Amino acid sequence: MIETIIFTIFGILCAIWFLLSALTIFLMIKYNGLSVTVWIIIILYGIITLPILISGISATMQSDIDYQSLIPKILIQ
Amino acid sequence: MSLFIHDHTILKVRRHPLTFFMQIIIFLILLSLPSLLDLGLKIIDYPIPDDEIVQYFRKLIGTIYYLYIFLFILYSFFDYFLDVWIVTDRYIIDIEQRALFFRSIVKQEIIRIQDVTAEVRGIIPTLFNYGDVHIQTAGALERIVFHKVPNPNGVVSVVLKTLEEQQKKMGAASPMGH
Repeated sequence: MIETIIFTIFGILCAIWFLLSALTIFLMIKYNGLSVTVWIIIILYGIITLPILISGISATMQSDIDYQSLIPKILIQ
Repeated sequence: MSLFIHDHTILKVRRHPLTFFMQIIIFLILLSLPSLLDLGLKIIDYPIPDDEIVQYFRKLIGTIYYLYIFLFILYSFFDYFLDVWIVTDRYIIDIEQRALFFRSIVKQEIIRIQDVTAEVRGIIPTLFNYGDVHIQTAGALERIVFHKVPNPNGVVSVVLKTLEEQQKKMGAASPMGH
């Protein structure tokens, strides 16, 4: 249950980020065309953010956190 | 741009790049905040929990935090890059991207210009020679402002020279021959 909630929230935030990024890039291309500057920005943005996104997603997939123990730990702390 | 097929573009300006870089500095500070916070906690010997769960949540929150900071940087560039002011031989065009889905394009005939002034205010604008150009017109929109453009006095000169040339052309084209 906790795992589902965490994955859902993380997934929604990543999806919103992706949507806004795509929209911003799309509008930049629409209004300015695919100039060299726009290409550089797209490539740089992809190079910087995709590894961050992938590392975050892989952290959620690979974790073997005992979610059942989360509630008692949160209550204690 | 298809709006200006028959016009000859004399000048195309954006805001001075320094205005964008100054915003980037703020974002760079925000990017380094988590590391600075970690460093600060280490300096004061605060016991950072080394729990697997804590590290896991740090990674998740860190991912979201960094992704959104870079998104804000992208949006700042988008806002900077899509604000353009164009002087053609017949028109002054003010294109401003006010929000993600709000773009305003104002096109005013150069012959309707009544007054052009340059304004450089502040230490950094004075050192790097950027400022505002205010163009008073006789149109429905009374004033067009070029915000934080490089060499505003140069822009004023170009606008006035273009206006003069347009007035000469119109005078020569007049049926009275004035």
